[in-house]
Amino acid sequence: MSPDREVLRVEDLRVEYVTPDGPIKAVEGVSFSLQAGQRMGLIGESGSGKTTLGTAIVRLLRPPARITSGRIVLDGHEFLQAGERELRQLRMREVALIPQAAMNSLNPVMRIGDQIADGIIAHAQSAKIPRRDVAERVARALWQVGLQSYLASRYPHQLSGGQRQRAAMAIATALQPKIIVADEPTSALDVVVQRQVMQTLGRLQQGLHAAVLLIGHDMGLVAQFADTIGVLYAGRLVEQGPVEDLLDAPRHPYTRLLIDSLPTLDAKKALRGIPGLPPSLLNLPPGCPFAPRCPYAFDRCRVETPALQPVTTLQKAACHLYPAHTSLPPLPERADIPEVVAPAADAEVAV
Amino acid sequence: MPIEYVAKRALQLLLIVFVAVTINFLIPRLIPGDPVESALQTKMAMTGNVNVDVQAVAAAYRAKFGLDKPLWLQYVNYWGSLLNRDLGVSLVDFPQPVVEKIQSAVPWTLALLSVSTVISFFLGSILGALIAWPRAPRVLHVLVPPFMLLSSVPFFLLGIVLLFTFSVVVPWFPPGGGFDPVSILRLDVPTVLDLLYHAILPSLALVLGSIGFWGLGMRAMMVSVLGEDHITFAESKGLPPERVFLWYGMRNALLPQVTSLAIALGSILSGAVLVEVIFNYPGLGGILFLAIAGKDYFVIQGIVLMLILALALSLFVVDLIYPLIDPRIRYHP
Amino acid sequence: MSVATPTAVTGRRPFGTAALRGILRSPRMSGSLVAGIAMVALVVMLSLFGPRFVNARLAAVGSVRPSQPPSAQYLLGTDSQGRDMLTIMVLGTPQTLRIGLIAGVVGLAVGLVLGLTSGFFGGAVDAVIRVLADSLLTVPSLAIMVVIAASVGHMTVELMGLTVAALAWMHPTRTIRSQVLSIRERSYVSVARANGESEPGILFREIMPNLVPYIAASFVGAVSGAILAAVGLEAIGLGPNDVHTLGTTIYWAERFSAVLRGQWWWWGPPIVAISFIFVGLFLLSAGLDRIANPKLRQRT
Repeated sequence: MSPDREVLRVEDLRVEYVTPDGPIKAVEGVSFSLQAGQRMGLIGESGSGKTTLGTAIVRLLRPPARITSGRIVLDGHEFLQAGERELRQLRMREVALIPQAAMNSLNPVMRIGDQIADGIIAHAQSAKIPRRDVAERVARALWQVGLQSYLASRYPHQLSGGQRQRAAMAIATALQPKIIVADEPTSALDVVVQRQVMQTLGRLQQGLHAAVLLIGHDMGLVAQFADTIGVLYAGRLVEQGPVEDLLDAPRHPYTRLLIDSLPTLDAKKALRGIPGLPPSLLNLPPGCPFAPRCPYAFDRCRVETPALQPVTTLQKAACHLYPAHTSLPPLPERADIPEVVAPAADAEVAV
Repeated sequence: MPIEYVAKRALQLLLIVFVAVTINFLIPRLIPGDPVESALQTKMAMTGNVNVDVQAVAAAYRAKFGLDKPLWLQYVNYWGSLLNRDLGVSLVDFPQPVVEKIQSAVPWTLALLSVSTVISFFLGSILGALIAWPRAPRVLHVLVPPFMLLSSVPFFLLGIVLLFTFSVVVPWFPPGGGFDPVSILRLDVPTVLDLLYHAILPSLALVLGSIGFWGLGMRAMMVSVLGEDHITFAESKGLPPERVFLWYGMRNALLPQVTSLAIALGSILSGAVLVEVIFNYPGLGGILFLAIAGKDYFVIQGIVLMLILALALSLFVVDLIYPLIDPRIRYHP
Repeated sequence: MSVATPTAVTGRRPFGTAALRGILRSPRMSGSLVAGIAMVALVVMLSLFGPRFVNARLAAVGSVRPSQPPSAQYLLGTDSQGRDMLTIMVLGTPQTLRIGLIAGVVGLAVGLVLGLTSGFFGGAVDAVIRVLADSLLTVPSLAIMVVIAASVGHMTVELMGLTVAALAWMHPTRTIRSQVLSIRERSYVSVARANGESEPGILFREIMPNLVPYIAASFVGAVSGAILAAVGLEAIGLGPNDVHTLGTTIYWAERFSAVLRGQWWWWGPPIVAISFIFVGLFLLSAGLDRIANPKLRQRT
């Protein structure tokens, strides 16, 4: 079997928000690539830049956000250089966005079927789809996400939360894109429905053999779905690797603390959080952004920003502990709390 | 259309009418002083009968019209006569019934108001929506200051300026009135054209006066709608921008805009009445002006009642439009 | 947007005054607010000091040559009843402002009381006030005011103000009521309640200071609406009979067909003055709205 080709490559992407108080650097040089059919998860806290990254990859950023540099290659197309027409054509056919909170993303005054259909019709000419096939495609799109075709004539408010999220998935994937960017598709749902939706996403991915970039803050949820995970902190990718390796032996201190902070049913232990607050993206301290909260931090960390380098064949981490070490040392038993860096008062921007 | 919705709205309509009619009944009776007597005095003065005992005549009037009975009885009688379509008689043009006077005026006001409102609402909304859309030609933004200016100026003042400019300075339009005084009203083309000719300036006053309001309002709604997530999702599908603007933007912004219309109808009606005064237009405004000058009390009351009813009915109609444009009301989940 | 800190907990003044101080200091005070204040201030100054510089007798019928266009002697001309227009304008503008002010203050006071009561106590009281306010909001205000004005025998400036106020209270009531409802459920009120503050105490110390921006915006809106209504009533002949106002001037101009006779100096200045006042109040209220609603402040 031929190796899966690369469908998405992000090179040194930088995004900033222009504010009267100065630029907020929401994404600082993120690079990764996705093969066809690969499932990648992107984890980060609020303020880590994950939503900005997801929105930037599909070029749906709104001012005051803007991409300042970097390269996105979508199945061979230079995405950032694409003109308007090309951009519209690439949408839906190559890359699709599954939004958070479908209730807000679905047009409340349009029937579900029409919302699926207008995307198909918009591409009908270029994709060479005859109009009479549209209804059939609408039905197929719904079937693909496990929804019955009668729902096409309903309005969003007549559907349940899970149905709405799946309807949004149907709308986005109606033209069988090669890349799906799913931005926290289950955050507005309860646990049972979350599972349903994630299962649907999984089946959809398999059926389309699409690459999926799943963005979220719930480590458990993302880990169950993804093959590879990237960890985002302060707009930077601090660790990346296959999901089992990452969970068993995280290489970056932040990842380690993140995993440790998850409560588990297996052992009884004290809840351990990560002391401190995420840094202000307006005034990032020099050096590693995690240094102020890192239990392993030493002098070099506060001066030089570490780059993402391979630690093992498949795992990469951005930490000065490597390549001197091969894995994380045991956590130092420090009683003192690392210094807290307060965020700026006006950071009202959701990243 | 859900039946409960219509029934609820109809009930609200009746409630409003009830409250308004009651207030209309109570106010003159609560204010000290007697409008009938003062109207009679004015009339006496105008016709030179200064030696007549005004008190006695007023007393006779009051007895005839039941104004000397206890309040609650008057109230009951009031409703009785209302339901009998009896609004009293004109004191100035005695004994012409008030209903007759009003009946001839209503179609004029209705026509003027509905045409002007429809034009300014749609034109203003489209312009406002385009101003809010980043892809529309920026030159449209030049409309914003005039919109702001126009919406701050009351209609009838605009009417004065228009009348002066287009009837006196350049005599392009007739100096008021609803029709050519020496013509006979028939249903034929010259008459219709004549009616239109006379309606242009008053209509323009109403349109210019309200277009700014609709434009700025729609612009604000559109800005808010365009910031919502469903627009982003629509764009992520690669839809042509015109489609996003019309069906995901304007279509959604129209809903609060219709609400705006309902709320503004009252003041539009009031403004239209004043515009008619300026242009001597033979609608409700025209006869109101004459009635006030002659202190023709029952005519004034009758017109006020008519205005209240007209507004309540218009609100009811606008309320019925909602289910048609908002499926969330049409279909309960 | 900064969340108001409960006075009970931190001892600091809540949102209203802190925001006001912050706004006045910040360069973000919007252009419309400044322009609006300037325009209104100009009119107020003119109204306060203007009447001292004119001879009131020139505003009486027959005091000067009638129907004169503006000239060096009569800067704004004279009307067909022999009154000097400049004098009339200078004397009439303050009266119009007075009516607006009376109606605005009374309307706002009533609105404040009813809004606070309705929002805070809820239940039957709220229902009654709401039904009354909504019914009156949906009738054409001119209609009711015409009935009131026509019933009054001798109309004065004060009565005019009260007449207009009768239909100026509904909007402030609704605004304040909805603000009270939303503030009341916020956590800092629960904190105050848990701390044992009495209900009226909560009303005054936690809720009212947060209403300041809305009260200011409502006041400007009420004054603006009042002047509009008053001018309308005056123009059809229901204005005060003993003084000049901007609206009554227009009425007399109408009565004497000044428009058709091309005597623009008679009805022109009142229209310009009224427009100026309205535009100024509009800008002022837009500026105040931005302070009351910080989301509007972030328009880029």
